[in-house]
Amino acid sequence: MKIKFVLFTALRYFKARRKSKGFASSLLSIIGVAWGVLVLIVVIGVMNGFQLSYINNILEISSYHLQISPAQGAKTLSSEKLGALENLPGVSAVVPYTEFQVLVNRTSLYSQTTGGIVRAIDVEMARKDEGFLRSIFSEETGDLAALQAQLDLSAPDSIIIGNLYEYTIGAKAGTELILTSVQDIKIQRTSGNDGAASSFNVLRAFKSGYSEIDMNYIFMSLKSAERFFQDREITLAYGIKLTDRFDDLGAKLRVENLLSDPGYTVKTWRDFNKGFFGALLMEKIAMMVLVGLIFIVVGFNIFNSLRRIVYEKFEEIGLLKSIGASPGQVRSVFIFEGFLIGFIGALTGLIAGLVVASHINEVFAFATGFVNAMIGFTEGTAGIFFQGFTIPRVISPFSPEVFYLKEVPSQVLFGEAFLIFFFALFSSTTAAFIASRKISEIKPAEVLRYE
Amino acid sequence: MNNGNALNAEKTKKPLVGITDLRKLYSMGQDTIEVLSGITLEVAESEMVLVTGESGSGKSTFLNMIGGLDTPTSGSVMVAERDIAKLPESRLTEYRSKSVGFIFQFHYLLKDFTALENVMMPLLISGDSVKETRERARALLADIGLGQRQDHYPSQLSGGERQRVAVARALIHDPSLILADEPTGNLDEKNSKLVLELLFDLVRKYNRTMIMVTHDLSIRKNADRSFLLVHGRLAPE
Repeated sequence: MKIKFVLFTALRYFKARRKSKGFASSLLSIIGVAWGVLVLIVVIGVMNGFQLSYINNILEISSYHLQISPAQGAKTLSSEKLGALENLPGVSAVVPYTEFQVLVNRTSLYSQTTGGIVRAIDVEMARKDEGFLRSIFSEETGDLAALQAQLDLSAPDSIIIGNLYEYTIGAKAGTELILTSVQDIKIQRTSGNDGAASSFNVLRAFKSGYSEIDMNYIFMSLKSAERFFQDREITLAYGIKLTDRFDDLGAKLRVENLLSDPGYTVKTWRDFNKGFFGALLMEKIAMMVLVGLIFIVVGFNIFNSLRRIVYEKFEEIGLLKSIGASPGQVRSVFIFEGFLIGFIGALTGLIAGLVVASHINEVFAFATGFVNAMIGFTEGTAGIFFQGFTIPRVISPFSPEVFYLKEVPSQVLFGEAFLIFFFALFSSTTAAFIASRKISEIKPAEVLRYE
Repeated sequence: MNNGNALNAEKTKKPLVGITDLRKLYSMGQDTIEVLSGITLEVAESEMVLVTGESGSGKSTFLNMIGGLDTPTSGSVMVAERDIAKLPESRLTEYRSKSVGFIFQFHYLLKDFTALENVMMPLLISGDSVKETRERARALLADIGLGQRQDHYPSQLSGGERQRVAVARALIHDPSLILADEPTGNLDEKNSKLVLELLFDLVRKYNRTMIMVTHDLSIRKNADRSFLLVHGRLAPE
């Protein structure tokens, strides 16, 4: 393939068409590709923002990167073993904990009751888990020592609760709560013995930003849990944080080798969250496919535009063939044009998409302001003709009061941006490839007849 | 079929083109039309051969066969010891880009390209560098008196100038064979004369072989040999 001829001719045709009427169609194709790429990048960026925030909170607060689950009756790990676990390569924190479900209500007579998950933790070891501290105290901007100070559960029967308990039962810092173990309700009903039900003082409320956690989680120290269960033996599990969460499989092997005890099962965050993360991935793929349908429409536009150009240039194609251009060379000229349309459109869309995705909150603020201004204008204008005409003046689609959001998160991943860019380029080039098929059939002797 | 010694190339010169018993049939529904009925002709290197005939006599078809733009029903077309009729499409493309220079009745210049770029086209197709090609095309255009018009588009050139650019395009890649199909059929008398003079001068200057088909009998004197194509056969004039 003589590429110089292809580039020279395609660029010249493209340049010439900028001044012709036919360029409107090419321009439309470029805008279509750019719009498709922009929308996809912004939509996927915002989805990533939400999803990664969920994933981060789940991993940092709930599931850990690795979990060591003891079998029934398994012994608590010795402090030596815990020390060895902490010193394993890639391990940043090891937190002994136990988890149980409770009913939660205030001490007042007519308090509503809600459910909760108590995570009783070894506070000293949990303080070494920076990811955990930064996630539950997401609104704190202080250094690590300041965050560690927030996790102070040394007072007897003190707890830290998710901030959404305030919305469900009105609990906040200073409130006294009664926790009743769900497991012990069963014991009470079958044996008549007293189960665990104690009152706890809420030290503070935490906010992770993930409503499922902020609405359900309660943290207390292991000592408080022991008192709660009236010194009955508690089976501990161990949450492990890694410096690189994607090293989970290697770290799992290292932990298993260290424990060398079949009484403990080691699971990674992938095992724990397979269903949820799978659903998130499916959601993202479905969104990509749906928004990506725009490229099919754009592809049809490019196909029609280039097919018309091919028909218009029958004679020129015949001439190029008669002076030695191969069908492949001539076809490449038109395929390159499709590629060029795709490239310009995809690059414009990529840049615009990255700008919009990184300033999504400003974009929403502008859109909100614009819509409100339009509403105000409509109301003002309609008011001239219809006395007393009113419509809601202020619309705030991303109000923190409506959604559990401070701002719209957005994160564009390089691989996904590249995939979207490549897909746009592929669809436009493929459309040009199909549109240029006719070129192979053009016979110079028939086209260049001048009778 | 042999039309006599006049159809053979001069014995002293090496034949470049050797056509043997060339036939072309076209099927039109149930009917079959024989356009070329067994033409045999030899053309020597540096020779200028003229083929005249009425419109529809098959002159263009004959030229297209030699140029590899059309395939014969039977017979052979040897050019530089290659049978054009049997070459696969890829080799035919190479043959057209390296060995043949076409001039058509209509200029068929690419309208989005300047005169200079139109002349550059055959060399670009062959993969030559843009810079060298541009220099060569500039020199050739200057040679034919269009140096000042090199950056003009076909729409900005007169009919005669366009055809002169087409002549330059046919010669830029030093083809061994020039095939001219009624090159002045679309021009007025004055421009016809200019273009023909230019064409014959260039072909002689660069020592090229040319086969021209025309119905302008007045230019017979410029050719080494001339033939009349009638009823699908060549007859010496």
